[in-house]
Amino acid sequence: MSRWARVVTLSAVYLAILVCWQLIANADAGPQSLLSGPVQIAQTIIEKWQILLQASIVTLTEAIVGLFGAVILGVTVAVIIDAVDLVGPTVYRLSVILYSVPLIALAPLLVLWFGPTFTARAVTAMVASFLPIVINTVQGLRGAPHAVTELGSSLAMSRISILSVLRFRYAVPSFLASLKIAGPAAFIGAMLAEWVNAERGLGISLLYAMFSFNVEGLWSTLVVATFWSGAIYLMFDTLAKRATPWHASAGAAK
Amino acid sequence: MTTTPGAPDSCIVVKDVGMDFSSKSGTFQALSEVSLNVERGQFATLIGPSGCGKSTLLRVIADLLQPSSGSVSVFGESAGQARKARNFGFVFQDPVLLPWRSALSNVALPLRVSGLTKGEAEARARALLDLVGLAGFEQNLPSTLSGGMARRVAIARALTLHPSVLMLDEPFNGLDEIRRQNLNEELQRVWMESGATAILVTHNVSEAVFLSDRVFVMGKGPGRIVAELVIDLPRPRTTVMALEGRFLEYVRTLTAELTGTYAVEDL
Repeated sequence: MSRWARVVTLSAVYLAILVCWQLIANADAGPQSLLSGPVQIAQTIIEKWQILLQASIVTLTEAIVGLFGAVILGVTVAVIIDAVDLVGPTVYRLSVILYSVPLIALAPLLVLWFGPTFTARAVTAMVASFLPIVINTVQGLRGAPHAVTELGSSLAMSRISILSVLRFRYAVPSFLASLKIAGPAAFIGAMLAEWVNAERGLGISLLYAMFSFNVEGLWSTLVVATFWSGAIYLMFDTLAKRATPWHASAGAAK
Repeated sequence: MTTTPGAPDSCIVVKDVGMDFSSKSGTFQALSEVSLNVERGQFATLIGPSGCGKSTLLRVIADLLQPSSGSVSVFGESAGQARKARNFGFVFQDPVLLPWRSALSNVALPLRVSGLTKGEAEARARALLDLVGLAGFEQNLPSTLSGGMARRVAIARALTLHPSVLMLDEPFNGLDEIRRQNLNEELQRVWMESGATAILVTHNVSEAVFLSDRVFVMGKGPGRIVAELVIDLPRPRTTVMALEGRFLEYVRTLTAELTGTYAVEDL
């Protein structure tokens, strides 16, 4: 199928979904309606764009700071798992356990520890996103050919420089791939943290809209949140492709 | 500086080296009581069937593996001292070029590691790429090089620090006969220019005869040296020579020795 035909088909499918959605919403219209059509949602977003943007900035800041912490924590943990045979498996298990704690249970606990603060929300985002970074980075480090370590050794390189100069670069593609998962996860973590502890942000906006039975407010916040989540994914997807052009063609390496 | 009696100009002295690998299923004896001498500037080859420990022996000499028993000395120093002094150039079975670095930058890696500035390192790397016939391919990423070219880059990289010992672990594995012969000639040329002592691991008989001054035939179960053959042919050797009487005589002798090392289950 040509590129042009694909674009047309996809657009037609999306348009059809939006039209059906609008028709159903129109049929269900009334003060008690629980479904907002795309037109109403778009109207609400345009009307309330300042409020939604402010809320977005709050939540995005929490997610970005949390993700930044997750990168530092995740890469550090990955290096420890890779380099220190003695504690590696234990550190790995602890990471899995921490990640397995339900966020909705962890978020209130973090509020107790850090108070109802930005820190508590950013830490929730960090916990929500660090494990994919650990797993992918460890996998990437282990994917570096053993001969690379031998090459470094034959050049009398230290273990640290073999890791930082040679092996770490082999882990970059899978590390960047992990951000595609970790980025949206941090965003969701930040929104969830707002449910238990926040005055502003997309998460708390959802909660307010729900309590005030503001159906259009709920739908517009949902659409904006989905937009940001997708945008984060796309950003890291593009970054991964741009930053490691050698990786895509590495399959042809002799 | 210590020397072994009877080998006044020895570069590499391997003495009673044994290598055991233990795993859950028991201990595997990879090498037993291996001793050999390689003289300065010689080209020596380890040849034998798969599993005879020839690659393991090369790694023990290169100090990439620690032997369970015995010792290795290189110009009177331990293998470890020689490795840390960056006296070894190692060419692996796969070229292991870093996929994100250009050919030039791959060759410059050992120089950068040893503290040269980027400019100095790249100037020397450029000359080495030229030496192995890759002028014009400096900026190519490894994925855009052919198998033969990637191997030339690996050889150039191994020579950048003027190593006193060049080690080659089946460097032309997987290449067809014509390209292999072509690279053997190139290897002979760059090795002669470098003046290094060389140790090659291979299971290709004509490659061993073509390149070597001395061939050690290894057998397995456990890995050991079963025969030693001196190849007394003038250099530089050429493809034409490789089709003539004396060369073929060596090939015949070595093939006979090697065949003896294959057990029934290897055939």
